Amino acid sequence: MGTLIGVLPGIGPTATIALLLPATFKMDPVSSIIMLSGICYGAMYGGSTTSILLNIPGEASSVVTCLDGYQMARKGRAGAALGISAFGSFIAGTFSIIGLIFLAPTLANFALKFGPPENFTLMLMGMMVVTYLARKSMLKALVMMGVGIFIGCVGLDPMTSGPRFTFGLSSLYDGVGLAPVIMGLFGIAEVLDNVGVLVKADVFGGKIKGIFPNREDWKKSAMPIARGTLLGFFLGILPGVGNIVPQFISYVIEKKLSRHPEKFGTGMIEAVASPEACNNAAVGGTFIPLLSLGIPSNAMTAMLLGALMIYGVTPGPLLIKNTPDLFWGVVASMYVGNVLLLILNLPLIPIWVRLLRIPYSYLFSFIILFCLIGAYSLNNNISDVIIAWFFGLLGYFLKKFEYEPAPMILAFVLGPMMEVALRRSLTLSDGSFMIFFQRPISAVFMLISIAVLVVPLITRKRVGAGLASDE
Amino acid sequence: MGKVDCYGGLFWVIVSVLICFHALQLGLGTLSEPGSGFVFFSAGLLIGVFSLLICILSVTGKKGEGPSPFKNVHWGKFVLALVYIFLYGALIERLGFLLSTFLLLGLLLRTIESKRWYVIFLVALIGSLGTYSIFELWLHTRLPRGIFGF
Repeated sequence: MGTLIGVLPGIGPTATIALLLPATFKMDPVSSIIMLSGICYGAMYGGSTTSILLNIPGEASSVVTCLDGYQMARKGRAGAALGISAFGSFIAGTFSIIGLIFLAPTLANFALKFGPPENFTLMLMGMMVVTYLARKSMLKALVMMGVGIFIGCVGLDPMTSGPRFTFGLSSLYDGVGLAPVIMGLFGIAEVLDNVGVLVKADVFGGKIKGIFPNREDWKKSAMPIARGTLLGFFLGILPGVGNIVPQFISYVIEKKLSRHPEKFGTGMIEAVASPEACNNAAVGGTFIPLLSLGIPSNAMTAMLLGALMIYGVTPGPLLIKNTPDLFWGVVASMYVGNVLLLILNLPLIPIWVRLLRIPYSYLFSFIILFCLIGAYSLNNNISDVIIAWFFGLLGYFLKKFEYEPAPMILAFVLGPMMEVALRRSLTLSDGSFMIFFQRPISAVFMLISIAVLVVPLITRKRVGAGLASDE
Repeated sequence: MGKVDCYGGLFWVIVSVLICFHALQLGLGTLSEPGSGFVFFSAGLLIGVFSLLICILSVTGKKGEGPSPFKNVHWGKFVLALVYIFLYGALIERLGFLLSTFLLLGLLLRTIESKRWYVIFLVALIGSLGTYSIFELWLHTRLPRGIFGF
């Protein structure tokens, strides 16, 4: 299912997780998280298929693959592109799982030393990194962060239980649901953006042959896969980075290291291998802060965090200790899933190609329908459908005005936890903000957060800015 | 940044003023005991400051506007799709899942890309029955029956 979602443009893993959430209520939490996690890394495999065959990224994390992947397909090398993408993803996925096994418990033990000031500053740092890495305007990303905090805190006050911004609606006492927001922002908004715009996808029509890369392909791709894997994994660990920005960085690095940088964009296999390895490794990396610290790195892991909370599992440093079956279940399933995806995906490519020929009007109507059903079935409440509708409309205008939703989603999930941590910290320090600088770990996080905010203003340069327009 | 960004910034400035105003009514508390409105006021301030910066930069920045983001928007189809989705949410419990889904799919298909009526009818029928099977029968999701009992 993850691969299918990755293949189909218009609905990504985040909206799909939101959609399937109600269906998992009858399952035990471990099985549910395993299934939802499978969608995450499955989508990474599937996204490259549409990038290579259609020149349309099936998933946001496969954008870069379009640049050279489609060109390889036009030259009759679609098979090699798909093959190296699958193998590179497998290698990177395997490495990131090993990293997850060793790093997550270590980080979780370290995080047991965290108190409210450390929790607050860690979450703040994660959000600041997300805004810093925004592909377009950092100022707009900061506005989105504020909006996310606002929406996330709507509901009853966690300390006093007084209603806040509920406008008298009892359905808002528990806050705004994450699933309807996600479905609106990522599902409905995407479809509204395409309504009336005629998108005739030019599906690659040639025969796909030679899916196993030859010796020359491996020779060219080995080091890019290694570099992409390391880059994706370690960047994915950082709270707030996610798995989209690392792929852009890996593309730029490969181009700079290449002997023929001028050929990038014309069908270079290195330009497919490295970003694909990078985004798969990053998925494993993003699971580390999620499972060990309870901090999501992107909208997808934010959705998983929401799912964990719905199942009654408390995310944070004690998750591995208290629910080891969940952690090891996810790790084992990731490896099994990795192997299965490699074995199944390549033979299933003709089916994905047929799916892509379905007219968009049918696809989009069903995407909207699934989003609405998903929103309704959470609580059998039409207010969730209206919330999804509202955020669909909001998401549409955010897209048009170039406001990225990822900072908002992260802030939406982290906002309530940040509020509690902040209020506890200020109560501990009797109102002094110096508490965030007096404790060493908190001070480091705080200084990074300030640097991330201030440095771009001084240097007028950002890692994220212009990455999307670099090519 | 251009004029479009200025309008966007102004919108968020207004939103931030409303948030801060309401947050003050909730009460900010003290620094040693922050009140219910503290975080909302802070968020509102954050939104207001940065959106004001966006407005200022868009006005003082380089001239030269890019194409309007709404250039190729088919407003008629967009508004219709919005209305259909809203009505679906509002009426699903009254009309029931099957009927409202049938109507939604039919109207969306007609709106997004005009198809022949029999194609719309068939796809809407198969779609509504298919999704009912998936969600109600397979995933055991409770879907509303409506006043007609289905």
